[in-house]
Amino acid sequence: MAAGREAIDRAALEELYARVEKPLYNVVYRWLWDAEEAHDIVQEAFYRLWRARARVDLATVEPLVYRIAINLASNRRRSRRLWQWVSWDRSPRRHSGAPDAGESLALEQRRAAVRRAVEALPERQKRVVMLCELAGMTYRQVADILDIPPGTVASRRHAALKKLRRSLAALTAEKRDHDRALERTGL
Amino acid sequence: MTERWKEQVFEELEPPPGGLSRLRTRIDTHNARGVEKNMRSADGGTGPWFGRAAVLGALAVAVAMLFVLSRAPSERGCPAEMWGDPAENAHPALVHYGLARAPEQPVTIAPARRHTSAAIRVPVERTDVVFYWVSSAKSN
Repeated sequence: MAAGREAIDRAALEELYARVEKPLYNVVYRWLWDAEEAHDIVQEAFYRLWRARARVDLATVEPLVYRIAINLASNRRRSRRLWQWVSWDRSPRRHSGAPDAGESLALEQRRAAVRRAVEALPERQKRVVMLCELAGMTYRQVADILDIPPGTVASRRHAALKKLRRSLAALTAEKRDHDRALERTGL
Repeated sequence: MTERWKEQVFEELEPPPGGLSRLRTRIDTHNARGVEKNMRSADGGTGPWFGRAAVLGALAVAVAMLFVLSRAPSERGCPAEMWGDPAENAHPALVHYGLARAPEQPVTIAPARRHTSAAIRVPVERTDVVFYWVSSAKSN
């Protein structure tokens, strides 16, 4: 190991896990849309980090684990190449209690719409916006993870948010029209 | 205006419980394997003899195949009847594996298409470039 580096020990790794598990899981979930797979990827990223600990500096470990996890998720997704709809039993947990059947349907429809909007983003914009919004990172931190200038992070985030807002507005309008049409036909 | 769409897109999800203990178990298993491996190395062995023999055997077969495939078809003594009409059989993959002779000219027209297609070699100054103008007429 190079001089001046602080090695990662077991306690440091576990402390990092406790701190970043949730945001990392949330980021990875937006690539896989599957709770178990997202959890697996988080585990795998930390396991790989542990195996490579001799070559990793504690100061840069957090960006590194994000980079590993996103790359793993992206690769997993590419190898899967199948569009899987999220079934109810594999849906992620939320804060509140279980919703009733009507709420569940509405929730699933909303999630499907959100998913379509996120999937429509180009990969590089998606990486930026998920790290900014879900991991709560600064432009500088995201820039370090993705190895791009902070200005690029800002512009990609802006573009991604704009696209998401437009996509969801269009989807909401489409659903409203659909509901009205159903009302008119008495269904 | 509240940004409801943003809340929907970036809804915070809870990871499945027990993540840290799962990671601990995995690391413990990894560490235990490492200790076991080190002990085996200290004993002077790295595994069963047939494991190493299998790896060496596979390597030998791979080297032999590379040697055979790297030789030109004529050196390999491919029977002439395998080659047939170069214009018909000169698929690059067949040529590569010595199952067809490379055509004398880089561009040839298959016999079935000779009444509708033509190829003319265009002279160029560079010696490492062969330039052809290939044209086909539509046949109804």
